[in-house]
Amino acid sequence: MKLIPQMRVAFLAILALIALQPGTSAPAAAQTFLATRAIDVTKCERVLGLFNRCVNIESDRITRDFTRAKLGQNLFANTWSTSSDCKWVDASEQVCKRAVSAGSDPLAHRLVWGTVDRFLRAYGGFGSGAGQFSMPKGVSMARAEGEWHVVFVADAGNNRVAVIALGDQCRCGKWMGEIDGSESGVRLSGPSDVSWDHRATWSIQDDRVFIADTENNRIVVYGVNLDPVTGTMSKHYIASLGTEGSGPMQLRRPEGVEVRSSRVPHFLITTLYVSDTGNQRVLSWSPDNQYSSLPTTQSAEFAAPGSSEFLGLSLDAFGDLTIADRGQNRLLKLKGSDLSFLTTYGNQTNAWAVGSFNAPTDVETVRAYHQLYDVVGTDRISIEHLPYSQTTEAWSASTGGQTHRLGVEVGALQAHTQAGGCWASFWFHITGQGSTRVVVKNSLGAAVRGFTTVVTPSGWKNEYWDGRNDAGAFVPGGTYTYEVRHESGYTYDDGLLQTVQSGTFPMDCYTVNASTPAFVTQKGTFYLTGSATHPSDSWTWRQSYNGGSYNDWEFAQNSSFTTYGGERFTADWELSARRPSDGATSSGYATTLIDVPECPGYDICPPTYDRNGGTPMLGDSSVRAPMNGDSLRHVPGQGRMRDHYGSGAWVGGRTERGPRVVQLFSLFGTHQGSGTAWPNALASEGDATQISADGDRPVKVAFTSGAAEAYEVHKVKFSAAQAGFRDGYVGLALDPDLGLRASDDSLGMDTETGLVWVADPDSGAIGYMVTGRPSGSQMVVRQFSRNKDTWHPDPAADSAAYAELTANASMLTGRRDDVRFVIAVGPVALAAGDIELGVAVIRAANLTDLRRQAAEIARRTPAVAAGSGRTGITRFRITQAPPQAGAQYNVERVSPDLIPGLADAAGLAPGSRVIAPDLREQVRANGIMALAFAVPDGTAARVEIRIHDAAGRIVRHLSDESFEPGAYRLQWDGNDEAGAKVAPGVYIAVMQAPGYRGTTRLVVVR
Amino acid sequence: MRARAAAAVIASLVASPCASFAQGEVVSSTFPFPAWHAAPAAEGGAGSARPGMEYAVLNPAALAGARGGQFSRHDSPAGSDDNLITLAHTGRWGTLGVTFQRRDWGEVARDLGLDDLSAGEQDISVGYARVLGQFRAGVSVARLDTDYLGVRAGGWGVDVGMQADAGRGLRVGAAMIHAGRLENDEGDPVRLPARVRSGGSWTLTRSALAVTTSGDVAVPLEGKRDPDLHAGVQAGYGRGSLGAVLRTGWRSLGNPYGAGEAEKNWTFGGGVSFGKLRADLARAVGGSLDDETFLSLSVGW
Repeated sequence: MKLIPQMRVAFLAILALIALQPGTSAPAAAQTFLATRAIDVTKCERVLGLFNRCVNIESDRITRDFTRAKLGQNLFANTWSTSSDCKWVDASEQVCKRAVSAGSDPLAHRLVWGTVDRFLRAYGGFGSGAGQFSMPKGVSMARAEGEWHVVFVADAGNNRVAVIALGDQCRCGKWMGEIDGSESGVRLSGPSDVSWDHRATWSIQDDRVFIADTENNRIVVYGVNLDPVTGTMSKHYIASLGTEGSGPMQLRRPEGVEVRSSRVPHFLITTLYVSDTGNQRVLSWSPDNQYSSLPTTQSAEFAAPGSSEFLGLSLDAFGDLTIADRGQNRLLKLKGSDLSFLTTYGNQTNAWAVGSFNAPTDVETVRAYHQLYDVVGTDRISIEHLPYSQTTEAWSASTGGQTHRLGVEVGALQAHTQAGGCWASFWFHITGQGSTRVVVKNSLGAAVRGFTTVVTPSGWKNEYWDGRNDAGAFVPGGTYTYEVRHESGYTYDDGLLQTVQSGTFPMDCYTVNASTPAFVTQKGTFYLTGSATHPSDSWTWRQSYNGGSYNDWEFAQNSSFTTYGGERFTADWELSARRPSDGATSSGYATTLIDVPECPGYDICPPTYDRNGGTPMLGDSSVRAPMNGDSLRHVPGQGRMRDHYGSGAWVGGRTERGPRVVQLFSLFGTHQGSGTAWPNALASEGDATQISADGDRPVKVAFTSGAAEAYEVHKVKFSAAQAGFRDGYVGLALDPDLGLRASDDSLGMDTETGLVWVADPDSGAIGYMVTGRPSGSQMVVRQFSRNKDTWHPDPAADSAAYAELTANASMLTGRRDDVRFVIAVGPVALAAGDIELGVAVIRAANLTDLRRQAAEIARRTPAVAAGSGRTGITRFRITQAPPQAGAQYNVERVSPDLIPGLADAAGLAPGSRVIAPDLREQVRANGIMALAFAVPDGTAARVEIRIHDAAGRIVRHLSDESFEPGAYRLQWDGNDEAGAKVAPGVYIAVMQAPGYRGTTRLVVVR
Repeated sequence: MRARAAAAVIASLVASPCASFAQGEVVSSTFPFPAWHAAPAAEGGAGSARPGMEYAVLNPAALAGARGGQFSRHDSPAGSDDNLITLAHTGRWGTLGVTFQRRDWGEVARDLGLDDLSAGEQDISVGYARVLGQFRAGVSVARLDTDYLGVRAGGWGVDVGMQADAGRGLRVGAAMIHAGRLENDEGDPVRLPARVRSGGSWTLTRSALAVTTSGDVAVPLEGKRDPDLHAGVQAGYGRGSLGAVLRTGWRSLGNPYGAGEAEKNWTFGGGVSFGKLRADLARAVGGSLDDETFLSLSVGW
């Protein structure tokens, strides 16, 4: 097909437009590169699959973050070679303080260059034009001319050596030309390295460049004249050395070349070193301008068969040769004169550790008195400052090694600490490479401890701090701050590449803890235990308790004391520590006040009492319960004990400090258990061997009362598992505790009310009343003391051990601060069923008030029906002391069924409406359910009270009549309207009165 | 012939428990529990002739052919917490059902300041029913337990029932509910208020609309024998997988206590169904106590 010219032009134009369309990757815009720019990269991306959006990036704006964000990659990819020119040698330290370094980045097809701690630039990009590279490898930097540094780059992919001028003032680069052999016909093929030979002159004119022409297995020498200021260069071919092979003057894939010339009068001595990589050897020539080959020198020490891969070489100021051995991740140092082995450097097993290399491809020494090596690894440039001792012919990296990294990333840093007592452990996770330093600072921000720099790749690292500062002394307690800093050691345009994380943690190296038994109720020796968080065990300790003097400093941390029952024992124990190293005695100590509750008896504490525990029964943490844990099950806060088996043994007890103390023991006839101490530990719950007084009749004892208030009634239910128990006594053993000073307690009994009281002038009085007891039974109260505290099974038969209280008498036996007694009722027969014994516990400010309240309770407590073996349970609380005549009680939660005078006592406020039946739950076989209500002053009211079953059927009409103002109490005997007993169950009482309707539930139990 | 056989069965059910009761014992006021499912509850408690496991507490024969589960909750005016769960599955061998009912009175002495004094009653029954031609027969055995303030009693009860399809939408049924007794720890017996429930239902169907009228009479087997009367009407409409139903009813609970007054309530309620899912709600008003609410959720399989 033939196109007319116009059409051809149009077609080409269309092709051109297509060709000029931005591509999807950077190289498409290489044509726009200007040699005077360090770099000009176009990053294009496809937007919504419709069009390309390109971003042009100029060199002056390139920063790490910028390139990462815009180019999607880091500025440095995989460096291959490096070369440096020292600009400033510190004569005092004899190290190079400032050097311009350049490294090739083959994967990114560019040159990375800059000055350590000052700036970093990239130059080039993929392509074959001016200012572009294709897999650049070896780099050689000529001596500076002003600000300009001429760099030769083995542009392997383009089969040429690129010559570039880099200005460290303008921080820019410019293309000077290339050497590809086209003018001489000696074309380069895949050059891997290049070395500039300054010929020992002070200018860069008429210099030579040695090129490792790798693919052609030869070294090519060119002469160059450089003018970096103008950016011009002239070149001419000089010679090529070597042929392919493994003979003396033969090479196979040489990938490293280094040349050094020195002048002696009238002579120029040039020495050439070549990494004959394919032959796994290093060659040296001393051509003396003749370029004649020298025999190969190969040292057995560094020629690891089959594994070494010699690449870049560098001569140092002493004329010795350092070689990068990629195959073995090391550097070799050979004597330059004869290539004899000197030493190696690099940990071949850990390529990431300090001073180690990962597949190093090149090495560069910087001119200085001490050596500064730029070692190029797979993806980093390490600048190792390695003082070299010619005396020992070995590097001493440990004495001055510093590592900087060029072209590495410092990524995210996560750090945290764990501290406890006198230690801290710092954990940090590093993403990216570089150096990490952990610094601990005190509250003033001053560094107290620093940790060795860690050079490491990504991963979790840990530093442990033992609480000592840099001087080796333990730091004071307080809050400390850790700071983990991870940095590259290289300054980019956007600042030092680093991340920092910090946090606070407590340190306490001086706390001394003293601990004691929680409470003590038994005679014996108890140990006070001290401990310290301080790590040093060489400290000494001293203690005192009970306000006594300190003992001498000693190494023992623990102490002990002995207490006896029947007296309150308070120990004040102080434990101090002293550090012998500096005599610091006040740096840490602790004082613990040991509060030892009073033991209720010398020997009467349960033998199996757990000194470390106990069961608070009142839900009060201050309560100590010296009881056998096996004998009592108590749910804190619920105030109920249940299902304790124990005939003739205690089923539980409690002691609370202060006057609100109740200690209840169930007691039935013969005491069970071994030994003579009272009470003995109860056998395990449910133990069928528990027997009653009349033989082998397990008796179940249950507490069903609450116990959280000052005025309360405990219902103790005794039920025989088998019938036939007769003429026994059931009761409680009581052990009140009135307060700190018990020496003036008094004990008495009021026969009229049945009140047994204990009074203390300072702490008030506690009274116990049996509010309901089986009909026909008598109450027996017997007191015993610590002097007669051995339990005697039968109080009646052992009068020597008991003293029966006389009416209205105050009598104590034994020690006055040892008040224990038994309240029992009997004789009873369990054959009839359960026996419930209600015991009211009353507390008052003094004995007078106590007696007044007891009289009130006695007045309200109804007589138990004759022949009944059961009584109801009542619970009441009087929040105020009995008032004067005419005053009103403040009654809460009363049980009207057992308190007939409730309505009177309630003191209805004038004008109040009918009071609904309040509490009225339980109707036992012969019990009476009472419903109390009151009609306020004013007019009479018709009150209807019905009992319904759960389905709503009417069971009984209790009332449907008019009542005059006043208080009333109606009873339901548990029968239905026809006079038949209702079945056990829950019934609903409905009370209706003008303006009032209320319901309440009644439980019938049979 | 079949009707005669059914009558004989019913007569035997009515007569047989009578001889087992001694006179003078107290009779439980709790068992049997009333129908807590919202469907029979909304129909005044009638349903001894109706099929479906929601009526199984009225007649165990109603269980025949049922497959599914039901949960019912009763908001009691007496303050108890009433729950009913029924599961039933039908195979070639018949229908097996399990029912659990519990009434929890809670801590009845909480206002006294006394904890852990509670009361509760429960009924766990296992029933078996089978379709025999136009008849359905079922039996269930229940374990009954009560706990009043720690005084516990337990016993067994038996329900036996039969239903018959007389054709033209007419069904009849009869059952003897809860024959048995309870005993507490001390051996005191408490008789269950066994009674015979008999009733009928008639369903008129017009297109997607079905109206069912039910009526039951429950006669105690001893005591004052004041019968309980139950009557209810249900109108349901269904289309596809959707259905809706309205119910109303009336009940009169005879008074065995000599108080002479029956406890009467009006009931009403409704339900919706979607596929095998169903929800029913019922309310009883006008009683001596407060109004009652019933809620049931059912799923079939």
